[in-house]
Amino acid sequence: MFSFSMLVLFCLFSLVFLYSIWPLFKGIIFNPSNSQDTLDALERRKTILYREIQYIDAEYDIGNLNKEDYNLTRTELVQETSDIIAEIKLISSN
Amino acid sequence: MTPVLGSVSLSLATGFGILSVILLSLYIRSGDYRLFLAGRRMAIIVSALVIIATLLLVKELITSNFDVDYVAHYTSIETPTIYKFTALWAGQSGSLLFWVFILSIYSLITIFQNRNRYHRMMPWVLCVILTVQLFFLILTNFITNPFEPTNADFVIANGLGLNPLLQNLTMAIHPPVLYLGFVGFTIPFAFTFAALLTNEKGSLWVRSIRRWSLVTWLALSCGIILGGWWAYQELGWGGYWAWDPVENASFMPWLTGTAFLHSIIIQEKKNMLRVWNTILIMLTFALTIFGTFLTRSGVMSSVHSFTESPLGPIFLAFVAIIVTVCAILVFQGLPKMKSDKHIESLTSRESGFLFNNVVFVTMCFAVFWGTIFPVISEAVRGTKITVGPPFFNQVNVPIGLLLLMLTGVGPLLAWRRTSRSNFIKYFSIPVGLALIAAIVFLLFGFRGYVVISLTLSVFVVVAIITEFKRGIQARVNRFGESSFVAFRTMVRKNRSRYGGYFVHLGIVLMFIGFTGQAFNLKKEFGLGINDREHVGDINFELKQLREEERPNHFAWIAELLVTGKDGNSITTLLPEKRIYFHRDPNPDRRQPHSELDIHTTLKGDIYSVFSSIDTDNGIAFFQIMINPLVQFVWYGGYMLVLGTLIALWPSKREKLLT
Amino acid sequence: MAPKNKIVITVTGFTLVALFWIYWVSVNPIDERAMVKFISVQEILQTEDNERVRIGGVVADGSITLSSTNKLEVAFTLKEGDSFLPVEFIGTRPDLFKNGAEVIVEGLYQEGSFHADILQTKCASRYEGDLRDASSYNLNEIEI
Repeated sequence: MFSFSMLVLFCLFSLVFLYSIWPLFKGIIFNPSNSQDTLDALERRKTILYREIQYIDAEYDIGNLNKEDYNLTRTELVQETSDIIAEIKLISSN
Repeated sequence: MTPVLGSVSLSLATGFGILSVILLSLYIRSGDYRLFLAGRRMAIIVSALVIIATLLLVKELITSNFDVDYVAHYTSIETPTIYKFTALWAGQSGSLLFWVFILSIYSLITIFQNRNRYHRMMPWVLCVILTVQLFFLILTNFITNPFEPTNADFVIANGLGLNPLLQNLTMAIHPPVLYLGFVGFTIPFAFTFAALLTNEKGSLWVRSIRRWSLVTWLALSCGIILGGWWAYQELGWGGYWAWDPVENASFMPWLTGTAFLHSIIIQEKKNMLRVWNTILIMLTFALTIFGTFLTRSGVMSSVHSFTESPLGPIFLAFVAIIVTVCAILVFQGLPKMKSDKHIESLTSRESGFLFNNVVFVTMCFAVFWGTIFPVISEAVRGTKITVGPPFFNQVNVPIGLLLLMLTGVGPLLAWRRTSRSNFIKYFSIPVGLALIAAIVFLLFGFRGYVVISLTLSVFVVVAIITEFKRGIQARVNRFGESSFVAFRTMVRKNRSRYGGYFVHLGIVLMFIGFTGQAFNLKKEFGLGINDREHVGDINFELKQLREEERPNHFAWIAELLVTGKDGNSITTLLPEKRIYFHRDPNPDRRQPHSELDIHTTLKGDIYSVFSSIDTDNGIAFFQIMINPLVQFVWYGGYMLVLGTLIALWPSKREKLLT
Repeated sequence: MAPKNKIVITVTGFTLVALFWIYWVSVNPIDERAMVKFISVQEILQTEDNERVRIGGVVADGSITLSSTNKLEVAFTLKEGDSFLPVEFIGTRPDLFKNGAEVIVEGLYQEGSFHADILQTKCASRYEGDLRDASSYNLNEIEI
């Protein structure tokens, strides 16, 4: 009985082990780390920037940002956003 | 069979862990994605095996298999099932297994959440998590194995069990809540570590870990508050915080973690303070491991017990390795992490955040110093100096008050720089009201820290209210919304910020509660029937002394009539003196226990302990404490939880981003 | 001055003041209970100077005597190794105080007896029960 359950456990272990090393026996897999990540990151950066622009508008209204600093920050943010949009276009067109 | 399976699972987890680290390192070198996939699968298996092992130990505890040493030590047949279950974290080996169990769950969540993200960082993140898992796995495999069989030269009919006095639900659940917080900081640490190594510039990952850190921080805060609440309700010394090493162990990472939560906002928004944040999260992580070491190695009771078990030195070595590796990496990464943006002015919100951080870290250092001072003095000078609560209070009160002040100053400062006119405009009302309040407090006869603390509380509350008011006003002006709609939309649009203000209000409530301690009264006295004694202007009269035999104990119940200055009745307190196992022939096995009775009002608590009884002369002895404003500490705790939940509440917008 | 330097100077200044403050409090504690020497029973029996100290040991078996008039008053013998020290304490005793309990006392040693004003039972940092006693409850404290 004991040896039988040992056998079952051993088989189970082998299956788990096989499962874990399975990817190694496949052909070369495309590494998504570069382009996929970049595009993903840019998209999300864009969303954050949109939000940030809204946010500093609100901050300016509240009075947590001087007029001068507000204009400066807003210009910077808008510039960065347009840069990112351009970059996204460039990558997706390739 | 089950214990063997448990041991085997732990060993297999260790093996898979090592393999996984090797595969992931190979992937980092070669970039062959197959290696990453295999490594990640193994990381999943490691966590699964740890979870299986933990469940097996739970099964052994619940079914009372006393062949396992751990089960026999911490449970007995009579132990109620719920406490058989909580025995999982009652002892050393079980609690270490529980640590890695929580980390394994966190690891699975991290892997699942980021299965298609951060492809460059994930291998490093997994490596860090696996290393921490491996450390605890090695401890539970080779140093204190929870599945260790009972010494087999005699048969165990029943386990030692848990003292029924310690069977208290709050006490049973406060360690796991604390652990959820402790262990959780591993994940932000892993991400920061990975970002440093891969030189990840963006601030996207910062968003993911900010949320994670907030959940962790909430758990840690709840754990600390629950611990204090339990001590206050059960232990009978009338306080909630004793600056005990175990308490300090949880408080230190809380301090640095809180600092991190603040400055990470600046990194996310402004891409500044990156070096500082990296150091902070590393410090927090190192402190959680150090805290586990403090509570588990017995180093605090004496240096000798530290060397008796290999656990202490191994832990200390691990902390040393973490600190060294982190220091080297930060130093090397310094030029890469430099931001092109700087704080532009001393009177800006950014610098407010920076100062808040510096003060938090200072406080952490003060606590650290006081905690390890006994160990250092024993090691260096041979005499052990114990550091008591007066030291911690004296050191930390001014630092704490400074923090309280910054809580109010922060929201009044503008981003980038505050112009002189705005400075005057925003500060005049809060400072003015605070000064008026200060005069009132002084007229009431308050002096010293009490006045400062209460004045600052007024200042902070007014500052937060004006910040809310300005926000609402801006929306009303721009969108023509009603005040209520404006308030709701404002909070919804920026949950983390306004939730944060609620947390700040909670902290103010807590400070008011702490301030109440300055007026604590304490008296010990004996009373015969119908005798009277007073504490402050409150009178206590012993009306009756009853005896009662209950299933597992014998109790004397005192009926104390509490009256005010004018003889008006306030309440009747019923503290009890109990003797557990009163039928045990061996008097040393009989266990006395004082069951407290507390009369709670907003103004203060009347705390009564039945200390002792003279049965021959019918005199009962009491310890009475008047603790003003204690309730504010707990209200502050609720407010803190509420604020954090507001900040954490998911919104559609947030889902797009994380 | 450039704002960056201003900030650096302020932060450094604050840190130095804070460090000095921590050092100052360690050297000049406001309360004699802030920093107390922890010594052994043997050491206190030899010492002459009348200084506040903290001592740990075991309550010697059968040594606990309550005062007949005031049950808040207790006298017992503290045992550490082969050294014995008579201790007096007035106040509420912790629940786990009994014969054989590990305790810590703090106070002054005067005229052959130790006058304690703090009496704590020690939380055993590690659970040391003997499983042979396991047929009934063991009342040792577990670790918290």
